[in-house]
Amino acid sequence: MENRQTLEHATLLLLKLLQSGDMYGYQMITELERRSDSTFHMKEGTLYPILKKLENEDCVRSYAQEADGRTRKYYRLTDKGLARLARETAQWQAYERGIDRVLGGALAPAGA
Amino acid sequence: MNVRFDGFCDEVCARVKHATPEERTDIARELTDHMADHAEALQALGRSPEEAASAAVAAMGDPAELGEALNRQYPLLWLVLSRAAAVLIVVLALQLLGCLYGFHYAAENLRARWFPASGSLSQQDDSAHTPVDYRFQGPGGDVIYIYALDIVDMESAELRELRAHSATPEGSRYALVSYCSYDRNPFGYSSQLLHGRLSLTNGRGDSRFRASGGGNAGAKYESLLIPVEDGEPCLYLDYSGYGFELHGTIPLDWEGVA
Repeated sequence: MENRQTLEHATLLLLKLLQSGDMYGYQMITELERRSDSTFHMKEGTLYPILKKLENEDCVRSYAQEADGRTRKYYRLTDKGLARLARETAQWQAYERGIDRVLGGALAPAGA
Repeated sequence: MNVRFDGFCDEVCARVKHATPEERTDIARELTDHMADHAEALQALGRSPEEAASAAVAAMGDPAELGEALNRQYPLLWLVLSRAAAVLIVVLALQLLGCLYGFHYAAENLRARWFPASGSLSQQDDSAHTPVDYRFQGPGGDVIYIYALDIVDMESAELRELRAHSATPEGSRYALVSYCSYDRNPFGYSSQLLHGRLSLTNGRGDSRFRASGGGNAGAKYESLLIPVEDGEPCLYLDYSGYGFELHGTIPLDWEGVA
């Protein structure tokens, strides 16, 4: 169950990253690290099965493009991927609120 | 290319059994690019190339686990379908070749029924030139088409040469008959045995003497020399075999013959 949750979270994070623009694999890893301030650490290879799954589900599409003298495989968010991002974001926020309530608002920002 | 990267990709791809060779190549290329990017970033931070490459490979995780996880994303059904499609394409290509071969014969069949003079014997001197049109229904859907008939003098240069080569009997005049056979169905084959059993004779029962022949499975052509006497009214065409009988006459036109 724990592994599955981790995978779902990684999917959500990747979809969110791609919402800001097309990216290739290593770029996603560095961007994730930058935005999370190195909070998230994942084995970099695990990115690719997730991307392939999203591609199979038509949530992302890949294409080859030259960049820095190298032909890279970029990923783009599809409309279906965007809808899934909205759905999973809502689910995550509901989950977060549930956790917050159990913890008695301990994580709520000061003054809220 | 870095040996460490290659080794990692080989281990991964060995586990992605459901992917096609092209898909495995794509996977290896993408993983290699990823590790190369990572190694370059580490080198920019001061790591040696060897250290950077090792760290980039280590950051990817267990290649066996990655390979298994990737393999689950390549449905076996897709692999089977892609292989089946490849086999189907080969079979269709062979069928197409067969059809083209069949069309070649069909073209010969159509030419025989409409433009026999342009058929395989048209360029030969020993075929008749005066067009006629006598068609007889032969066995098994075959049609015998007498399409040209000349009454020739044995003194003509071509026939003298012909006689020297084919033991043509003495005679003052000959009917030079050109005919072909084809199947009623354009894609059907002309019978191999028809011409051998066909008999073209004059009124005295003199047999034919082959002048030339040719053709293929689409249509067969033949020209015959048959001795005729002045004013002889017709030639006789007979076929007998496989329970089929055919008897017909071919009028001789003496008008204009000196």
